[in-house]
Amino acid sequence: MKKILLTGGSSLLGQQIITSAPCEIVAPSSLELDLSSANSIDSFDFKDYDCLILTAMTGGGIRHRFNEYPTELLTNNIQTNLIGNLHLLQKFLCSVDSGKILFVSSRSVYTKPSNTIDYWVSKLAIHQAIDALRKDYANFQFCVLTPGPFANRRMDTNKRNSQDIELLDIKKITDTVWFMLENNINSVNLTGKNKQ
Amino acid sequence: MNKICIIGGTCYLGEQLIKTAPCDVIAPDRNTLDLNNINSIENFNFQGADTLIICSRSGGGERYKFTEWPSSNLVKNLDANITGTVLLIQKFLQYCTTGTIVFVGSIATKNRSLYNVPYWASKQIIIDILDALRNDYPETLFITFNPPSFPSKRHEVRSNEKERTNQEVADWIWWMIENRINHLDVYMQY
Repeated sequence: MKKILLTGGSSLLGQQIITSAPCEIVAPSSLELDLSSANSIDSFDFKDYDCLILTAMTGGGIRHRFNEYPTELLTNNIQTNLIGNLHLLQKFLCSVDSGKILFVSSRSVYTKPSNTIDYWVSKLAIHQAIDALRKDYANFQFCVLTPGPFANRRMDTNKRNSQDIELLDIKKITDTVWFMLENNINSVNLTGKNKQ
Repeated sequence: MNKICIIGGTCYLGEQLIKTAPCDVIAPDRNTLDLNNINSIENFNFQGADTLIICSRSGGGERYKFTEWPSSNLVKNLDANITGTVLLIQKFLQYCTTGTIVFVGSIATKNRSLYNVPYWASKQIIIDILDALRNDYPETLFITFNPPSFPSKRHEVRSNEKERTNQEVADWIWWMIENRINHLDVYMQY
């Protein structure tokens, strides 16, 4: 790997990925690369990069019963998380001849909570698309990392304590990111220990 | 069922459903309800319908390798098939929680061809969402259906596939509603 493009660089996980990166890494702000804007994705120059790490997602941790979900929020989250990420993936695959793509998924794709639909459904769709694309783009290495819950900026003490499993150490997640990319590992599920 | 709202009423399947419906039907055209337009969805009036059948499919039949899919189509199709459909389902559930929602997916969600990734991914997402909503809305009947290929105004029949007729597909839908079947997959015949 020579140069990594990271989305979601302002999150805690993104910050940890940046500080532990083994090579040059660029994490554009949403002003430079806005996943909710097709024009922004179309005009971004992907050519210099040989690795794409997708961690950006909006709406994680926000919970609403489906018919009470604010329409604007629901729309924006789906457009950013799902359509934006698929579009970005397409542009990256079109722009470079070979490379590595790592997508950070979520344990919620298995638990499918009905009050965070816009979040997990987007993770699941990208995960499924990557599984299909892997067969057709042999010059690319596709990795999907599915971590269990880890502490993030939105998680308060009560929520931390209410988790049924121990929160993952964020360093363990980033170590796994680099291990997967270095060793061509396609898929890893990372779960904390059960508290009981 | 008192009244059915059919989305995608201008496709062959939609026309067949309108023709064979056992009760009153409304089938808005794109001028009345545009799934690419949030305001259009927000302002849509279900006119007393207690059953919603979604068989619209923006981009159905189009086949491109993922990197060759025209960017503008990709975004527009995903927007209608996912964002628009999700908002429509939300709108229906805000107005009626004791009705029926039928979503016509595609058996492409099982085959997952490389040449229509955005299409089957969109269909699968809506199926996953409806599946997750079942527990929260116990009085709503959620029906998801993955039919095999059937005649469409957009696509040509591929030589190695035996298509089913629109009559067959419509009959399966009425059968699922009558018997409160949650999910049905019907595979291709070759």
